[in-house]
Amino acid sequence: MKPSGLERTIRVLVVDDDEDDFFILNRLFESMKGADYDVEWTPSSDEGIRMIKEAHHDVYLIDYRIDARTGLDVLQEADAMERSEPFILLTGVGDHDIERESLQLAASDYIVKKELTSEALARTIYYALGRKEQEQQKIDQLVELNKTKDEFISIASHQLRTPATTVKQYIAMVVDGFGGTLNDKQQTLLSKAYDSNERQLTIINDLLKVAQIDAGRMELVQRPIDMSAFLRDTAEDFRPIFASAGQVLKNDIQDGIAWNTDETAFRMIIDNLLENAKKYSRKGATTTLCLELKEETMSIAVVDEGVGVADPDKLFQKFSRIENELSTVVGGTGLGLYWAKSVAQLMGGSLHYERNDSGGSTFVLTFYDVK
Amino acid sequence: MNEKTVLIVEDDTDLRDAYVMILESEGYDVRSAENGKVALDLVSAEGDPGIIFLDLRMPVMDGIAFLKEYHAEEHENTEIIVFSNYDAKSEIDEAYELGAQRYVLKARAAPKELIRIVQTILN
Repeated sequence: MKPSGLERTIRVLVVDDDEDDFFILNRLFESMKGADYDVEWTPSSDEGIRMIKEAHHDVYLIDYRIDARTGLDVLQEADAMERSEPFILLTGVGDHDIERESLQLAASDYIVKKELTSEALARTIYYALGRKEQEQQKIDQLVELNKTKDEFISIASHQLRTPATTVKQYIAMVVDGFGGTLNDKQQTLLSKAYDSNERQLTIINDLLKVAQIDAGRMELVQRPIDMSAFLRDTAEDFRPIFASAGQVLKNDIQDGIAWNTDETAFRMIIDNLLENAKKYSRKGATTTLCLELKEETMSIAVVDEGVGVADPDKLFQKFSRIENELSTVVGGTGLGLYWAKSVAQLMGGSLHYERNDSGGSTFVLTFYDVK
Repeated sequence: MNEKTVLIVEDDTDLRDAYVMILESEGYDVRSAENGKVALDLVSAEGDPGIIFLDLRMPVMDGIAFLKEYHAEEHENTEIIVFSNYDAKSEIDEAYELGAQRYVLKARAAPKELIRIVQTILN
């Protein structure tokens, strides 16, 4: 495949602190046939990094030794890994270590200056551009494929949700006596059906939420809210849910904290943390929802007396399910915390885990510059 | 319709029937519509209900389009509650801008919850 870069002038940036070397290199470019080159040169690595970041060139030739840095430093600082243009490293001598390291840092090729001819240079640039272009096409294909996958998950989940919601509604009606009084056995059997359906809906909703945030379609609408009142109300809503599991929800909320946030999204994060605390705790346990503002840093913590997390490193990974004494009982998708952390980050904050003194879990949301 | 009437706007027939059945069993006057267009016609022919439960995603005319036509500010005695889902955050935000006063997640719209909401508003 002929790289499309060769249809037009190829813009080359040479970063080399030896003017004589550049002079020789430039002569090689001038004598090259088959393509036009527009060669720019800088002897300074700082200047080089700055120009690379501006992305005005098609290919970069970087000397291995430039002033205080090495060419490898330049590759690293200019984020060569993330770039779609090829980087070619120039060196005075052949050295396998440099070669290996430069390839690890995403250099497309490595050439020894003294072995350079105009044909060799032209070929190196030609192939480097061609390879980068193919690489870029593959990346584009994968991005496209990933998007198709996200859309598929989204459409399939939407279609699954409506009938699942309807099933839930009718089972709930029978359980609540809309079809007449049930005996204990019927009640037990239907409760199992209801719980199973509830889990199914949770999975579907988690898939939809994650597909949305992964696709960058989650938009935040920020408004000023009274955080203290908001969290008290949330705790109030959840108190009966904890009570029905034989647990207690308390709060320890500092007064008078206002904050600009997306209330709906924020509520979903808190819901997620509180539901987890309830799910992974036993009867009799107490969970506390805390809010504190200290030196413009706002922390919201959910502290439970549950079973804790054995492998916290995996906790926020997508689809990670960490085994514990209750995980087979409660079920889950391994998407909830991934989602919550992603949204907290989108809001400019963070979500992290620590094990507390009771052996249970503490999840802390932190936001900065809260006045 | 009058201030004691509940209007359910929902396109899924089975779900709509369930909501109607639940509220009728509690003695409420319940009407229903399968999309925003039918609901608008019903309101203009028979007057405002006390509560409108409004689904957001419906064919013909969705919940947002309904709200744009309905102009909630001209119907002070009607409380609009949108039925929604966890992933419909931006639609909920838009519905609020257009005069919806609260939302109920469909996954949480259990019979007792629906009855509780209607009781709180109408009684």
